[in-house]
Amino acid sequence: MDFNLSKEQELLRDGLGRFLSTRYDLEKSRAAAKTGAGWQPDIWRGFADELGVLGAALPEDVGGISGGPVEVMVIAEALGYALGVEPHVDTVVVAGGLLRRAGGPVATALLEKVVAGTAIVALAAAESGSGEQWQDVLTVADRDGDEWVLRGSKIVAMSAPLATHLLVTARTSGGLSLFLVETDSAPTGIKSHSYRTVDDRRAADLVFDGLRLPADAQLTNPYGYTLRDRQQLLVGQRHHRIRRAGRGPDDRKLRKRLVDHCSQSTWMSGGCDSPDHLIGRAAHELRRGLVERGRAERAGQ
Amino acid sequence: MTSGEKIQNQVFFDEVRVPKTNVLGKIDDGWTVAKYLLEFERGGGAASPALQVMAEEIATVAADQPAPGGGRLLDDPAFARKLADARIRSEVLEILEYRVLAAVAGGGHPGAASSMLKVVATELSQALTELAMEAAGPRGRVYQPHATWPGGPVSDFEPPPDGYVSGEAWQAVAPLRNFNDRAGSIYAGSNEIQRNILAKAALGL
Repeated sequence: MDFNLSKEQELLRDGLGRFLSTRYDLEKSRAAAKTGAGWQPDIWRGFADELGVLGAALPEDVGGISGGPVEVMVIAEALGYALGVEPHVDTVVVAGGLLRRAGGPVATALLEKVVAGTAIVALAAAESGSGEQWQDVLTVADRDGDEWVLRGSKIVAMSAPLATHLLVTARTSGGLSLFLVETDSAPTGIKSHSYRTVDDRRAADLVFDGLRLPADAQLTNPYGYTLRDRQQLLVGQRHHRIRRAGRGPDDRKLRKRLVDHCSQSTWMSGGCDSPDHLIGRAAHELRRGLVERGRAERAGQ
Repeated sequence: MTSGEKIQNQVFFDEVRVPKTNVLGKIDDGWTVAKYLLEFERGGGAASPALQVMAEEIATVAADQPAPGGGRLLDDPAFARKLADARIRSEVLEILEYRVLAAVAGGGHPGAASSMLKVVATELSQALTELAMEAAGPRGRVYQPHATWPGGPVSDFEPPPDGYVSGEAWQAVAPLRNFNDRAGSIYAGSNEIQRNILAKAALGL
């Protein structure tokens, strides 16, 4: 295995290292961490505009450079060396990773802003009864007409005080979902207690008391993709089955349809580069669907 | 301190004048005098009762905290093993302390055993404060010295105007105690020095 950095990765490391050694003033960043805003917006701007490091591990279609864990490592190492206080891991790695997996127009638009440095996104997942077991969620999201209504509380949401957007886990009637909350528009129904952490970062305890969100604030449903996707998928699966049985529409037509679907698909973005790939996944989904249906039928008996 | 509080000091002496009559023991024999004094600092008290109470308190709160793999933290095998280990060591410390106190009560002095007490007590205290921080869960990351103000006002820290405290008082104080307790193995003669004393005085190495 080759553990050497590629030329591009070396450029990333050296460029960021140079930026930090000349521009990252330890006294200023310590002051920002201890008594200031908790971060330095001008440095963040530099990360986005001068260096382009915020998109290093995010896809090209949102303005990134499609790097991976190694790029994250290179950046984290440089920021750690400079004792950086900016919310790189929280916004780019954690929230960025969640948004990328959620897919869809809302998440994609926000990812573009993350890469451009104009949005700070933080995850609010832990609750007082959950500890580090984040799937134990008591926060609920109820549907009310075209809106979602959030009730519950989160603790120690890292970087939440700096955030323009929050990703909040909440339980719907169907299961666990991820919701997007725009905090820079100062919505009512959300109360925040901000503080410093023992490692000089910022975090907050949040209370949602009837916070109203638009329908598309639900970034993921318990199944990980939207109903429209599922219907499209079932169509694809049927075609696939028919094709395999040798009596379906011709391959070219199916392929075109699948490629179209693929390009519009939200949950498959990033993971679907060829019709064959999609067909493979469709077959997998079909098998899973049949197993689930069988299970449900057995349970119903 | 790493907790931000000012609890311990470094003291500088710059030509401080002291009357000769204030010399304790003989001149140039200060280390012997200091060691004798330190025997009582290290061995003149009993740390185990407070440490046992601390372990008991951790067990109480851990019964109400969620474990990383679900269920109660107190039932989590990794956590329970560490807590049991600390409790066993606190029992051992108690017996050691009885021995030393009995020697002192009989007119003797603690001797090298005080070094043993110092090492065991401080390492045990560090283990317990670490466990308390673990039990505090995500709340253990919050910096909120105003919840207890153990060492008075803290520089570079403004308490929130409404006095908000995230979680309970024990959770708020857990990281501060944990950080401050790192000094335990350094102060009153570092544990390395204590082990050297033990090697020489108790083991004859």
